[in-house]
Amino acid sequence: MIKIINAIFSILKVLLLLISFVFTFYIIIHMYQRLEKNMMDAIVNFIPFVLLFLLFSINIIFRQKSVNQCFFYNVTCCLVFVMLLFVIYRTFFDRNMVVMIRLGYDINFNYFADIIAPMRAMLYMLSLSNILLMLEGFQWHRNKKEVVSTANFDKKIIEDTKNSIM
Amino acid sequence: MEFIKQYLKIINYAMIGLVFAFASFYLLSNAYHYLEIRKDFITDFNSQPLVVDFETKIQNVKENISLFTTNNYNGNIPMNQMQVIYYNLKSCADSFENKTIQEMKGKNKITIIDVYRLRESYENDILSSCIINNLHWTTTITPETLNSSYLLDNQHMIQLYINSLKEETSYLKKDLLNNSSYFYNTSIASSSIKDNTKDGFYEVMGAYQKAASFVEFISNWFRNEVEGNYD
Repeated sequence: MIKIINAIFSILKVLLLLISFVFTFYIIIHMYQRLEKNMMDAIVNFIPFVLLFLLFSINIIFRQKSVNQCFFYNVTCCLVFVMLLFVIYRTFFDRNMVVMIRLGYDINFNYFADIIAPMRAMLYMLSLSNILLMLEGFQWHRNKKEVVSTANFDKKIIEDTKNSIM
Repeated sequence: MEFIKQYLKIINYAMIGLVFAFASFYLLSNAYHYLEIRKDFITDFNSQPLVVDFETKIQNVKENISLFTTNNYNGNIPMNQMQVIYYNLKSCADSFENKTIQEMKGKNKITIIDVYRLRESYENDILSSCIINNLHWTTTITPETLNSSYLLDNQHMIQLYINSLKEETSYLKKDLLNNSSYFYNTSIASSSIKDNTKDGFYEVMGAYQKAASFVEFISNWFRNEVEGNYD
């Protein structure tokens, strides 16, 4: 059961990352346009998303089990993205915030600006955790275990569950 | 090597725990804030005592100024000045029936945005149009410019009253703008968010009533002047 839930969270985190990135990108680009700021300055806000996406891709491509099977990490990633999507929802649709009415824009930039710094911090911390989880399960050479079958005494080789590059 | 790995594992899980705590805090804080600012104040706008009171005062103003015609005035103040004062008071009475108040009349539920709009209308229609544009002359008159001992005697009091009207909703303005930030909800901030709709409504309607009292005060003097009760 836990494996199924973990698999769901593992896939969900990637989807939520992509969705939250798209909306964050849209809001931040419009925010910088409105403030007439240099678009190059906006890039720093997207770096943690790109970094995390790269790490998730590595986890999937190289089947990093120490990351993919870490339930706590997957749940935390989902929680961060759910929080971010909730903030995005309020940025667009919460009409009870006076600043939104006062500024007269359809996007509450003032409110979203509050979350940018914590968002970046959390995404960087998730990236760092991802790297540490990878290192935790990393080995230069794949461990090979010799298993002796009692039935026919033939030696069989099975793979270890830890991360490796060979 | 194994020791370092174990140590890194502890640090890593502590860091994930920290992110988990941060994300939970922001999520719960946002959810709380979302629910708080959605709170409505259920009441019938028309039957609110403050609303009834200020409308009665404005009705009195209209009755007071309706007594004035160019034919029936025989006082000391020049006719052209009386006509200007008449139009000032009439304009003031009209500004109390502004668009925002008209929109509010059919409502039986007040939201935080209604309070904000009422406050904006108080600042634009009442303070700016009525008090400053039409009645601020009451604080600058001299015996040479207006021959009314009653207004001259009360000039200092009127000045203080107008000053208090100007500052009446400034605190509410700050409070309302604060509702757009959930950042680090202290007990003071959360309590101000909690009651913003209800308290803000009473505060802004109190300001309306206070301004209406001032207009009524000037209109009472105007009526007495028309009827010849003052020097």
